[in-house]
Amino acid sequence: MKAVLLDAAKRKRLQRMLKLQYGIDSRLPSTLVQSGEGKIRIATPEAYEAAELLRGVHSVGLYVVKVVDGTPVLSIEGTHLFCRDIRQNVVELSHEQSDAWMSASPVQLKTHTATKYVVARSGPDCLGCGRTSGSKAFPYVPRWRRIVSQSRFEAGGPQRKADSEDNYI
Amino acid sequence: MKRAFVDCMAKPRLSEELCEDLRLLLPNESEQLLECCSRPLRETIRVNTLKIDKDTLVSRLTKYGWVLSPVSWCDYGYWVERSSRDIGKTLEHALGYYYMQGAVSLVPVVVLGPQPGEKVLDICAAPGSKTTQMGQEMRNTGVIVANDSDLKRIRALSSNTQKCGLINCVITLVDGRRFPNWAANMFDRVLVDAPCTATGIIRKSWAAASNWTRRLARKISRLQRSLLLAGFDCLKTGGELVYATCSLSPEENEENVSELLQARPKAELLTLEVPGIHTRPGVAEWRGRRFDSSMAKTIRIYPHDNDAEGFFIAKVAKVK
Repeated sequence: MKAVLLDAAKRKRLQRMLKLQYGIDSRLPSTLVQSGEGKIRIATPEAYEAAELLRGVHSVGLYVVKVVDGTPVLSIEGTHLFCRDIRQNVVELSHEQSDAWMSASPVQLKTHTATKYVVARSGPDCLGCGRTSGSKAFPYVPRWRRIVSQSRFEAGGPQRKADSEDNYI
Repeated sequence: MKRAFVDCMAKPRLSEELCEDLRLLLPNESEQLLECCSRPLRETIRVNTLKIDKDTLVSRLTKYGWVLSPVSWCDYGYWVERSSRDIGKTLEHALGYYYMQGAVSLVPVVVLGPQPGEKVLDICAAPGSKTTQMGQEMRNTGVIVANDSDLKRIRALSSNTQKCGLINCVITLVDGRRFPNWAANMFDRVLVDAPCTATGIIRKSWAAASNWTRRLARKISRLQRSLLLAGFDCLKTGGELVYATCSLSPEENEENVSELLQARPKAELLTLEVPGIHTRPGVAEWRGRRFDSSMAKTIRIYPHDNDAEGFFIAKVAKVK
């Protein structure tokens, strides 16, 4: 992977899109790296410099946002980083709804929403973005990160592929 | 001797060669060790302080009915004494607020002590337990180069660094032995958490123990030695390296460190002290071969000493 720094114009555009969609007006970190398919990652300056010198680079920094048809869709970590600054297009979830969200189950919204993407929040936790359709929100949770419910697990139902941490040590 | 084999062959069973080696290594304690290994490993979590503070997480998990007690050698590690559900299936886990990591597996990073702003290399990083632990020690500053040579394992590493929120990480997919070709003398600290025969964690997987052979240990030892030399060559002068395995075999541990000291005159073993954990010095001799006299500075952690995993850890400095 070739890590390419986001130039000033793209940076400004991203800042504007984040403000428009989620009301985020805090300054973006200094090192933003483009990594294909409209994905943008945040890195430390030292990480970017090191990546320039190394071979076989697979990724640099943290994936925070993907621009889809001109709309920024934040990753779970992206919403975590900007959690306090997100002011619009937010849905507040109960604890039960949060569990459902992280299982990638659609969540019923209280009202219809015109916007295409929303951020889910539950108390202090930001749970990433979801796509809306009518009065439902469909969470964007990567397959490897979903919570598989205990009952499904115990019943011998479909299980997620062994989590990477299962190999921990 | 025959009686010893009968004990070792009790289910779950160990290979005959491993059984012999463990008896040689711990003549008076091998039964204790095997008894400990027949019990399931106690669960531990590491609080990801990059995303949440310890007290907040403990209070949230306690509300679910969990009982946690601190790990005495790592201030962000907790034993899970009781949990109301599978510890890998909570909202907090999905959000990366904690990471499931063996209690003794926390020690190599504690010993390495990476500092904010430094350049650190984790040469065999997947699945990323120690990489993400270093990330929090470094407070997400500086850079961690996390390398592995297996694409499948890189995916796990990538998922875990993402989930833990690391912005200071560069993931590379190359054979770690080639690293000095482009990164010689580049890093302040290096972690060589080498692939091993995993005899220290047979409580997790008995397959390794029943298939263990001396030949396999020798084969893997050659790879470990090359990785250790490569890791050392990537260190700056004044930098520090930690070599760790979850194996108890001296071929994979003291022998490799001894070889490093012979091959690299700038390598100097440092004394290790880890408060709160029961450790023992490295062995001075194995099957007729005497190692470097400074080998007592390395540490061995046996499963039955702390009712946890078994590890070997050595810390080496690159001197002028």
